[in-house]
Amino acid sequence: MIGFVPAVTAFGYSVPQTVVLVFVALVVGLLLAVQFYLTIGLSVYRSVKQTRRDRVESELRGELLDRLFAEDPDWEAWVSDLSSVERDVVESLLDEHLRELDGTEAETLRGLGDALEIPEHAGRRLEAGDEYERLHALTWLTLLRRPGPYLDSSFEPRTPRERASVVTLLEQTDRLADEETGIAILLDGIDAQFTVFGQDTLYRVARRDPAPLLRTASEAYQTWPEPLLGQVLAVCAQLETSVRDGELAWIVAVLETGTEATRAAAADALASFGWRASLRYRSFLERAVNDPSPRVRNAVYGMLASWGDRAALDVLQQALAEETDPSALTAGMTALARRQDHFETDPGVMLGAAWDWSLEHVEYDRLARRAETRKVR
Amino acid sequence: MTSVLVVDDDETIRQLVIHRLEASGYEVRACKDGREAADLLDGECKPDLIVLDVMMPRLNGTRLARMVRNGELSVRPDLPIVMLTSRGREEHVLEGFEAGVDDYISKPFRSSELLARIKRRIGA
Repeated sequence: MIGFVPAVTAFGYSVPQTVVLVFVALVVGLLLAVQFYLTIGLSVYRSVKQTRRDRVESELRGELLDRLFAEDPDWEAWVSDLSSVERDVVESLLDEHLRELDGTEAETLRGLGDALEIPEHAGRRLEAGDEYERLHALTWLTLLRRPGPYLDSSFEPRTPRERASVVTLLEQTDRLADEETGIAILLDGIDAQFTVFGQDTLYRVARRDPAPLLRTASEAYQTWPEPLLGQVLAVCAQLETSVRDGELAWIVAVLETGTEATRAAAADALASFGWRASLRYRSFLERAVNDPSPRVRNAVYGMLASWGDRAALDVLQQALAEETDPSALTAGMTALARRQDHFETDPGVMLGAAWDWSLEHVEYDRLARRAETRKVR
Repeated sequence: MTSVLVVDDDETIRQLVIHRLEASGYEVRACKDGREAADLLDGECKPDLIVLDVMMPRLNGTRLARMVRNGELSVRPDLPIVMLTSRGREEHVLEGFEAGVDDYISKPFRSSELLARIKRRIGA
């Protein structure tokens, strides 16, 4: 009896399935073998490279420190005698030491960067490299305090990371004309959120003068993606500085029409500008405390308690009497309890047992903090 | 010879401070973290001053300073301590002074300033 042999048919040819399976197994085996040898080869290469670096690092570190504290470091003479591996190691050492040293010692060390021609390389990377290389170049120029190659190049930052790096470079080298310029580099035409470093850069620039940030946000906030808008609002919440009335209208608009996350962020931002009377018209406050999201109401309660004036606390007290969400109620009560000195009549009459619990909680928290301070001493 | 114990988990800082102090005539020992330093100070090591980082694995600098001041280690409790703190972490300075450190220096720093502060405490 002749057994049935399954076959695979394609393009008019019929090949036994066993042959196909053997072929596939051979190809997979070959690929695995190639991957294995590539992995081993790469590991050996990296190990050899690291060993060569380790072998020279200690000696080069000593030489670098000797020259750093010498009368004349003569970096050029030293660098001209270095092999490519040694130059690589010296570059790493320079990076490490520039981050730790300050003043004249750091300035002396920057001469080593010039001798290694790092600013020139950075300039070329800015013109021709990919984003990683451009960021690497900007970091070096900042560490070396050499803005020249960036200023002379045609490079324009596009991504949020590049924008933040350029502003940091200009700021650190006193080449940032003003805060308006910094905000323009950071935010003009931006379409993605910042990294933590970028957000911190935005804060540093806005802290010196918040007006350009608030003006730009007022004009462009509707075009920004939600995460970026949240970051800008988070920066605003930390500014705690006086700004003109009109520049906050966009935050009020976000609180009324934004997404849940941005509405909550807007309430946090408004909490820091609470002194202005124009924000406190009752109908606005009542709309805010009636937000459908407990998370937003939570932030709004914090905002009202942070303002701490009679009208805001009245609205807050009224809202808490009707609050049904436990987490928003707890947060709102705690915020209100911290303002207990501002009440002429006892809010407990309206708020009931939750108020007593919050008062006790706030008092316990205060005692615990005092105890912690005493323990540290 | 006047001796200094340098305690920092950062290799760059450690080597830099060792180099600078040795070149100025101090005998220097170094530790990579607070625990190693505590063990050393509880043994035969009796330095004239400690240069101490704040944030370190196993045992941080503030805790180590407090152990010295409380007499928990076999060194004199009034051993001078200069603390290295990071710029922007001013709360560490307050914690350090509360723990009993004598002086502090913020990173990034000038090694000549650190040297001057050490000399003011224990002389060359």
